[in-house]
Amino acid sequence: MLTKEDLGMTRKQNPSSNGLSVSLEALEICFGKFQALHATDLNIRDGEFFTLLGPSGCGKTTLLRCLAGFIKPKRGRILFDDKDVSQIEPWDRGIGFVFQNYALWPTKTIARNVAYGLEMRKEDKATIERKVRETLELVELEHAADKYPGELSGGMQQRAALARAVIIDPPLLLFDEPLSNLDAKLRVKLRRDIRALQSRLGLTAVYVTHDQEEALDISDRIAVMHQGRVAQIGTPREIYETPVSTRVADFVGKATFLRGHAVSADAFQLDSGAIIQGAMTFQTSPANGRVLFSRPETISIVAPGEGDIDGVVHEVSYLGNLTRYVVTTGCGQNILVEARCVAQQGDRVGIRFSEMKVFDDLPDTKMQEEDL
Amino acid sequence: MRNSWKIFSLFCLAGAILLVAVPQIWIVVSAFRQDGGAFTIQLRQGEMMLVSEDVQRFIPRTDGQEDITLERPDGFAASVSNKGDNRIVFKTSEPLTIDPSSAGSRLVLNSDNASFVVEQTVPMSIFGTPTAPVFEARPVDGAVEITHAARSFIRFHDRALSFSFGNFKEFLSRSVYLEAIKNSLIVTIASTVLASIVAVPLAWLVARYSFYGRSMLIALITMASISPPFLGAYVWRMLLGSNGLLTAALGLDWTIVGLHGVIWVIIWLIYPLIFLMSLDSFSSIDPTLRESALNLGATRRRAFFNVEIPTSLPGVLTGLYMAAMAAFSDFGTPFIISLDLVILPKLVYTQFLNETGGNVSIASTGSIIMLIIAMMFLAMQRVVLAGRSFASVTSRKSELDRPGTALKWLIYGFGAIVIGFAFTPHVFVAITSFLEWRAGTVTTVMTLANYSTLFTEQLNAVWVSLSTAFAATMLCMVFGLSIAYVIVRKRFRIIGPALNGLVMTPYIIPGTVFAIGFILAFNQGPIVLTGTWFILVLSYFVRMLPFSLKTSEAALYQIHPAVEDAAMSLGATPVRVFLGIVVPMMLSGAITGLTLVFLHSATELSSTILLYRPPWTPMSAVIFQNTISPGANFGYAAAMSVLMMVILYVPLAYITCSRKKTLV
Repeated sequence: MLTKEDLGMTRKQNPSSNGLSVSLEALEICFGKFQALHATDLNIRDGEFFTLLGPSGCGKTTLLRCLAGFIKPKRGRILFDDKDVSQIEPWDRGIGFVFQNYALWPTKTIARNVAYGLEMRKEDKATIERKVRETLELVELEHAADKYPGELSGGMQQRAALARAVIIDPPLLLFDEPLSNLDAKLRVKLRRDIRALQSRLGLTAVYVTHDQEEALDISDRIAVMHQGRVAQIGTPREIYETPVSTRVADFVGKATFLRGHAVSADAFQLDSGAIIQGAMTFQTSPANGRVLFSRPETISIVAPGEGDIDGVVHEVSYLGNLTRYVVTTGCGQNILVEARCVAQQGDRVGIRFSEMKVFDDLPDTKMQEEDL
Repeated sequence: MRNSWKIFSLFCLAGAILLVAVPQIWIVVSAFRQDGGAFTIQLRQGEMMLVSEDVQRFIPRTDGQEDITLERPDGFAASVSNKGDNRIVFKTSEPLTIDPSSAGSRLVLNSDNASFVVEQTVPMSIFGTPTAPVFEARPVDGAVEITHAARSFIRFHDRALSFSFGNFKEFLSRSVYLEAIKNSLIVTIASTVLASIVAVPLAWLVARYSFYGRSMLIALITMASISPPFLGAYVWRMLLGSNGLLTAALGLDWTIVGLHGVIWVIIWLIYPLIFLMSLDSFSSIDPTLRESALNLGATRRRAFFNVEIPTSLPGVLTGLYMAAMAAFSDFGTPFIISLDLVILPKLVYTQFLNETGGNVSIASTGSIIMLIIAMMFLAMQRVVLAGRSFASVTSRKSELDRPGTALKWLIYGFGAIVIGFAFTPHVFVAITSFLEWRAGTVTTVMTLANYSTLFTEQLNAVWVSLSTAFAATMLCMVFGLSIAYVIVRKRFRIIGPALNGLVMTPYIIPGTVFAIGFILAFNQGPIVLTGTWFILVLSYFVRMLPFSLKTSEAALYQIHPAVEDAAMSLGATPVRVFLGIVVPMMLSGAITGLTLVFLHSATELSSTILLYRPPWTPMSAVIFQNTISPGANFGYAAAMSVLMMVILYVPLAYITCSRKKTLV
């Protein structure tokens, strides 16, 4: 077993942290002929909570498993604190991994599950017993020490799996969609717990999820992935508010995309001929502007004729804190609006945009329609 | 570390080639080799003549001369001329030389394409034993001059083997062999059909209705599925044979001895297999399938024929296939029921073992015919099942209906008959084990002598059975678990499928055939195992490994690969992960298969009977020898059978109980 010192990991970058920094240098992963990850450079800071977000099949889990050593890269390097670990076997990396399906061993009690990592490190019995107790207290499972995983609820099992991963005091903790098998309410509570534990222990976390709400909630930074490439890296705010492409804009949060073309720096003509005017940010050169993008909460419903464009309320879903409307414009384009106001299905209304962005292409049109 | 699994799989592959492929290749080689034929001449008072009953492959050319001339279809010719004065000259179309290994009464003469063994016997006088006079031979211009006794038989046997289809031609043209094939097929098909008529409806009733004693009925039929195979035959013959206990008491002029008896006994042997597979299949039909059919307006009858029958068909057919294979390769029943009935396993056995008139090549040919028939059964099952695998994930168990009064009594009556017939042998043997036997007949005197004989004189057989079965089970555990791991997890591109194919092959090889292959492969050359304790262990191991492998694979499929990754990320090397995490998890599922391996190994007969040599005589062989030798004391064989039942049913009860626990 290699210790962090053996790996040459000196950590002086962030004295309050017990974590390490991770760097990918032109990392490529292949399964046979299929390229699961195209050459990727990425830096994860010491003590950071970093999330890989993307639809299924985008390569996020593959990248995570490569960090753990379960998959060996085809090309490129993985550095933990400047030390190349690309060819180090998973059992020598000394990092924690929390799995989607908990992966507890049903033949062992919770205490024995949690103790396993220390047993592999040949710690003495008294130390193991003490640390297991402490770690189980940390995840509030001290009462379940002698139970078998099958006797625990999903949430408790995942907390036990978390305890099992952190007991070896790993500088890096990897999460592979750990909450996707739990119900919605528990998911929110447990992700807060995970975030709190990570901050308290001061370790670096890499978290894989396809749930954008979860990613926005707990991450320091997010990498949005698509088809084996990183599409954008940024803080949750950057990702949501200034997406670099329609693909990112589409995957993170809800959005309306309108086809047309930019006619000037503050005017966009829709395919129907209607012209929308106002301040707009260009993510492409004005000549290539083909898509107008806007978040539903930045759009407001006004009296007909008073907005940028008129339409008919096509769908109304009451969500409690606000109401979601689908407004169909004259040329059949749908606009998604989330607002606190009262309109009925079939009403003729005006639409006013307040934040607009112009992109050069549409994402998969199908995705757009599913969202509406 | 990554390579150690590859090295292990290569080792297993080499072992599988040695233990599975090589014996079968030996059988094929042996079946396609034919010796050069033989003929015998008789000399009496200076006169010489051909014994026309013993001419093989040679065709006599009688052209009125003194000499005997014979020709073979391949053009090879031989002639014997009488020189008088107790001397003959043997001449062939190729020049002959005297082999230096010739000694005493055995003369070996070689030519380019032939190797004659010449043996001389003097017919028995009333008070004497046959003697084999010493030859004197000397070469004469490529021919050989031989001296002989005044009255003698001289047999010329060309032992040179050549590649030929002759054995197959002979097998498929001689009526005795065709009769054997026909009888085997009749027994297999008739007993499977009749057993399924008994088993399938009963399985359906048990799967659908709840009644008092339901689990008892299932447990009893499970017990019947692994009863010692030859017991039934012996007891039924004793009860219903000519002058049997029942036939005599009822004054019937009827006997069970014959083809019908074999079918009758085999039905009660194989129906549990069909019942258990069908029950499993009927119970696992997703009830929503039936309900949605009813909901869409189908009548109960239509739902039964359109939904229930088709979805449960794969399981039922697998049961039928297993039953047909068991019936086809059953060796004990026809041997005990009827000595003069020719049937394939028996024919192959006698051709192989018989010292006089036996013929290894014909036994091998018969083995191949058996293999081909077995493969045809498998192919039929596969064709019918093609594209019909219905993996329906059952969300909930079917609710069991309460039967009406009439139906309830029908189930009880049906169950009682089926259980009664299946356990007649067990009960009868248990009773006779406490009775005294005199001169091969049972008396009504109670005694414990059978058991005291068993525990004083026959413990060796018990030890041999248990030790071989236990050793085979351990081997099956080690290799079943690890090969399953290689196949499911490692997925090596060529080694994986090759290993899987080879390991599963013994599943379709009838026991008799398997044993012949083992003997042919391991009675000479670099590895000599015949007649040892090891050959029994190895044969049980290789024959039972498919069961162990399949249950281990099923267990492994239940284990998510993440549990291995979890251990690895915590610092466990792959070897520790396998031994410390995967094996304990697999064992709980694989234990059922391993118990079956033990039970089948302990009762195995069809390959054991060919492979065992004293002192390594297992119980099954002792019981079998006692049942077929007329006048033998069956008492302690009965006591041994009772002991065997205890050995069988205690572990079976254990797994049945533990399985129930996991279900709750």
